[in-house]
Amino acid sequence: MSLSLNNKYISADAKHYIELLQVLVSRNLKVRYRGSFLGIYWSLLNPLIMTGLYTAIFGATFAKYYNNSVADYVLAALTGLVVINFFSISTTQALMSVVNNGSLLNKIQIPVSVFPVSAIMANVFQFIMGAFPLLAIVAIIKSHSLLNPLAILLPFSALVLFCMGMSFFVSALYVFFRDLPYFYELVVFMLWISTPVFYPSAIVPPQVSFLLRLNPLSPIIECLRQISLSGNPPDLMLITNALLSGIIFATLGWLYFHRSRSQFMDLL
Amino acid sequence: MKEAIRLEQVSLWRRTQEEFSYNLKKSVLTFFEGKYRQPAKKLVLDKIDLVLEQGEKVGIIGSNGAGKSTLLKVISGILQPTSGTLRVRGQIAPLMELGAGFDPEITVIDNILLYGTLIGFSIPEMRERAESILEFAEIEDYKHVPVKGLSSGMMARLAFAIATDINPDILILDEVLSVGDESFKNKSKKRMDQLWKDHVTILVVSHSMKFIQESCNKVIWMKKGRINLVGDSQYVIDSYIDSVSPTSDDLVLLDDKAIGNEPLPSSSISYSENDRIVGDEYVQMISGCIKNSVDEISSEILINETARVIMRYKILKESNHKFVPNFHIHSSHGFCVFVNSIKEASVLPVGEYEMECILPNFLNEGSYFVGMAISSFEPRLENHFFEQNILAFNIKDSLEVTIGRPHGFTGNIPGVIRTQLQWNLAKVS
Repeated sequence: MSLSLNNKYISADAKHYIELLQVLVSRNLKVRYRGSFLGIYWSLLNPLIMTGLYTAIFGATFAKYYNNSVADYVLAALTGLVVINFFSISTTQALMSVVNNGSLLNKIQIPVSVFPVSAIMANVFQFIMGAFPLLAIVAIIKSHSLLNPLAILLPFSALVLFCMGMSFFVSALYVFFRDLPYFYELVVFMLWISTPVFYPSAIVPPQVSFLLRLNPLSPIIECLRQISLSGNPPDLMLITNALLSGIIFATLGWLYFHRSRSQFMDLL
Repeated sequence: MKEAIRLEQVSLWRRTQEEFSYNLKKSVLTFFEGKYRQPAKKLVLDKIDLVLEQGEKVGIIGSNGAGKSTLLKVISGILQPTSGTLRVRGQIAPLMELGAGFDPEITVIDNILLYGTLIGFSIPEMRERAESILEFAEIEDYKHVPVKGLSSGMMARLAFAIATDINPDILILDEVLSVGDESFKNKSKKRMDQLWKDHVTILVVSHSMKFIQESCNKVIWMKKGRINLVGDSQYVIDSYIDSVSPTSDDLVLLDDKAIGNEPLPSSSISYSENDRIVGDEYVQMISGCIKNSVDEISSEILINETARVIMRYKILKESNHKFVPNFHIHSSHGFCVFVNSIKEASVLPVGEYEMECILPNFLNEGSYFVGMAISSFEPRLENHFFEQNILAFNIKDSLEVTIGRPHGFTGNIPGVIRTQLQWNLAKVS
């Protein structure tokens, strides 16, 4: 009896949590894109322009690492940029989310985690509407199969999990340390440079390349490229790798968030 | 009667504000220097035991920092008690200060959904309620307009309509909502009365003793994180007001029975011949009052109104004293807001005098107490009489006024004084 009652309450809570996410995400997107002509497609503009820039500068030099094809370089750079962009934008937004809603948290009881999660979810929505169709088309053309475009969602889930973990961690840390954004900017830049986004990983000297493998974004990008660009069926090994590291980061981030949560209210 | 809220030995420790370092670089450095220490904590609620029954209307009073709002936060689940147990039966809804939780960038209808979901309603439920909220706020035509495009009056009406469109078992209210223009006032008053239903348990923190006295049947007086006194409204409020007067110690010494018998101070007082004599052999007080801008004795002063403090006194015999009438204004929190005295004093002949001081409109909303005195400073300081907190008045904000309330902001404005200062803004290059 008491168990079933409990279950009922849990599911009511979960339902309310999802509805909270729904209104917060829609608020987030509406504020961001109200009155802008391109709307949600602005989010695509940045990776597209960057891809153009990199291709203009490095395309000719690096093409030899990509089957002597500038087009392949373009696609590799684009997939990398989509990932790194998603990571840096979503986690930077999530970083501020708990502190920015501090006054609200002092007035009503809301599960704190909805704020970082809604910041990520708004970006997930953008990805599904913007970059995903683009990557799916590339994957269909390259692989002539419907499996690959669908499989893109797997490394993407790994990316979301990783970002979620990072967001939990930094949004909690920001409550305690308000100078965190400066340091975090540096962290994002380091991850950015150490991810083979616009350069082939083959040019990195072997003494340093093991460091690149520590970068949790690398397996995700590698997996995404394999699925959408290689034309081969999805590599399960790569997918498992990416998902595993995503799950580990999400868990660690959540543990830290959960552990420090009780101290939030004194500092908000 | 069913029990609605029970607190058993609830204590809460919080980090003190001064200990916030907020600085990663510094924290890492102190950690490596071995100077790291646990942040200092302060006991803000100290073993609170409290049982409230369903339907009780409870006011919480006490000075700033006594733990009033903290107690509300613990009951509504915003803060977790460090120790002790809390049991709440029924759905709690906060009546938030107007405009809290609003996003000015999104439309009126989106804000209704956002606010409702934040305080615990479901989205379909809010969709249903939206029409009646819009209707109540009289802004049906502005449904799809961003909130920042509304006039401040509309915004206040919307905020009030959303905040009060709730039907909880337990209502939590941190300071009372005051709203709107004259025509809306009646409507909003009615709506507030509706919330005061029999079966709803209500908890209110307010500095307006008048409000608490009128609308609560039980009052909790918090002092330094503890419940100092609980009981019948009148009794607790009287005890509280006696204690916040700055000479509470003297009062107790002079009159042990003061508690419970002294009437609340009003906006006028007069001492007739056979009443208590206030003064000494040189000078005696006759009466005192607060007048509003249209020369009526009134305890309700609008925030944009100039008021006057008036005192009549009698000089009884010839002397070399230069009598200096002066008065002290205390806030309802018990601290002195300011002291003022006449600028120039001279030796005056025997007779009745009336002093008048113009009180410009710089005080913020709230209740104030006036103490009156006549002093002389030569050859040494002497108070011929000094009556603490004999008059009281409230400063009210009708929300129509823009003093210190520009940009359509409708929430509480903190501070003891509220005035519009002169600003300059110029382009430098």
